[in-house]
Amino acid sequence: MPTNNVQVLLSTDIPDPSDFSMSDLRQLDASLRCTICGELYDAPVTLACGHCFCSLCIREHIVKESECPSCRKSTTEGQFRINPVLEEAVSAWKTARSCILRLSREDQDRIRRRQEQQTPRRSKISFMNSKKRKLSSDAESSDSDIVEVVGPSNSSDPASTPQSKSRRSKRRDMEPSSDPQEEEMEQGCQIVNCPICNVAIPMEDVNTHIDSGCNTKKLIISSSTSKSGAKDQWSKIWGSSLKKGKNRVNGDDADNATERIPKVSYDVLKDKQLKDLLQTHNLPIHGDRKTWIARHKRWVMIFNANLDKCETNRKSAHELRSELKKWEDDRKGRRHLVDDLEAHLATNEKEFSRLIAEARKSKAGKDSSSIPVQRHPRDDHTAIITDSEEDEQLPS
Amino acid sequence: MTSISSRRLRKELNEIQAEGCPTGITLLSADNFESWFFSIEILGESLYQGEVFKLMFRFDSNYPISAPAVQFVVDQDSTAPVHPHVYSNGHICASILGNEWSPVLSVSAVCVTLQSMLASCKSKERPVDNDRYVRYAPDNPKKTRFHYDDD
Repeated sequence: MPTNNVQVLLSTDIPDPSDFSMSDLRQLDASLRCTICGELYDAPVTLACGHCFCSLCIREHIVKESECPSCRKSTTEGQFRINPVLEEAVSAWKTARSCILRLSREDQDRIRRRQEQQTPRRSKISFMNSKKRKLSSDAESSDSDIVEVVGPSNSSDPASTPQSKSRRSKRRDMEPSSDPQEEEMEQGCQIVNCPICNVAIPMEDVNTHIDSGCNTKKLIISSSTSKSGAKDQWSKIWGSSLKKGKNRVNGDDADNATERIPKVSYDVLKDKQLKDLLQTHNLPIHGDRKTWIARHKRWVMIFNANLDKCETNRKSAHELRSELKKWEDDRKGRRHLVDDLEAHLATNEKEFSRLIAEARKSKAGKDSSSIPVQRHPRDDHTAIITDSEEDEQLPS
Repeated sequence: MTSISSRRLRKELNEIQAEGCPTGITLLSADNFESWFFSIEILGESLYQGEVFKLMFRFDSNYPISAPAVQFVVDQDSTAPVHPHVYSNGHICASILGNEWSPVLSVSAVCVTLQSMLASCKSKERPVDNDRYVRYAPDNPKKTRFHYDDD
C-alpha cells in the first residue's frame, strides 16, 4: 500500500530549505533549487527568458508545454543554454551545506544558551555578532575550498572560526595563478584507484574503465588514447561517410559521444529501424513498439540532459542505462496485481456497490436523454488495479 | 521508492509544517502522497462569509509535471461552494488546474488561487450547464476538458 511509501519517505531525511532555522540561509538554500523538482539544481539550463531549471525537469515539461513554467514565455529546446557557473555554485554549496547547517545549529544553540544566561540587552548584542558571523560564512560558501578550511576541530573554538576562514581564503585569492597550473599538470598523469575494483589506473581512463565493467584488458587497449583519439579525429574529418558505411558507430563511441541525440520522428521508422536505433545506444529491445519508442524518447532525454552538466559531473552511459531501467520499472510498478481477490472485494465492497448504483442511475438517465456518454466502462471485479486515471478510487 | 513526485510532495509538506498554510487554509490530512485534504475559508468580506469548504488534491506519479486533480469534497459534512465555476459535484473549472498548470506552482499556490477565485465572486450561482455536466462527469475532474471562456 502507498502508506508504506510514505512511512519510508517520512523517515528518510530529504534535504530541504526548511532544515535551516535562519531565514537568510533558508533563502540561500532555496535559491539554489530547481522550482520544478525542489532539488538542488542538477545540470542547470537557462531559458531565453532567463529562468533556470534542471535540464531533465525542463525537458520533461517541454514535451507537454513549450513555455517557461515560471513566466510562460514560449521556449524551445534549442534555446536552452547550459549554466556551468551556477552548476559550480551548486556543487560548492552541496559540499558546504552540511557544514553550514551544523555551524548554524550550533550557533542557534549558543544564542539560546546565552539568552538564558544573560540580560536581555547583552544577548541582543551577541545575537547581532553571531548574525554577522553567519553572513560571512554564507558568502564564503561559494568557495569550494570551504570544506578543507572549516575542519570539525574548529567548531570547538567558534570565536576563531570566521577569522581563520577569511584569512585562509584570502591567501588563496592572492595566488590564483599557481594553483590551476599545478592541477593541470597533475591531471595529465594522475593515477587513481578505481572506486569499484580498486585497480590503479590513469585518471582520464577511469570512465572508460568503469563503463567496460572494470575490464582491464579492454582498458589496456583503450588506454592508448592517442590511437582512439586519432580515430575520433578521423571520423570527424570524414564526417558521416564513415558512419554511413557498414561499420556503424559501435556502442562505446556512442556512449562517449558529446553530441546531443537529435529528435527522431518515430512514425516513419519501421520496427527493424527502431530496434537498430535502440541498439546503437546499447539499449534493450524487449517489449513492443510502444515500449521501444518510450524507451528511446526517455533515453534521448536523460542522455541530452546529462550532456548539460560539466564534464566532470557527467554520469557514465552505464549509469544512465540503469537509470533508464529504473524509470521503466517504476512505470511498470504502477500496475500491480491484487493478490487476494476476496479480501480486495471485501475491503472495497462499499465502493463497488456505490459505483454499481451510480452506474444504474446514470443508465436510467441515459435512456431518457439522448446525450452521448463518454464514461469509461468500469469492470468492478477486475483483478488489476491501476494507479492511472482509469480506476480512481474515492477515499472513504 | 523515492520518485520525483513524492520527493517534491514531501518538500511541500515540510514547508507547510514549518511555515504553516496560507491564512484561511488548514491541512486536514496528508497521510499519503496520493491524496491530501484541506479546509478552506474566505476571510474578509465576501459572499462566502462563515462558510468552510473541504478541498481534495489527488496526485499522480507525474506531479508536478502534470497538474494535481483538485476538487471540493461533497459528502454529508461538506458541500461545494455555489460559484459560477464550481459544479455541484465539487469539480472546479479553473484554467490553472488545466492547460495553465505550471510545474512551479504548488499545493498552497493552488489553494490561494481558489481562495481568491471565491473571494472575487459577485453572484452566487452554479455554472449554466451544471446539471448536464454533473450527470455525466467523470470521477476525476482532470478527465474533463473545460472551456475557459472568461477569467
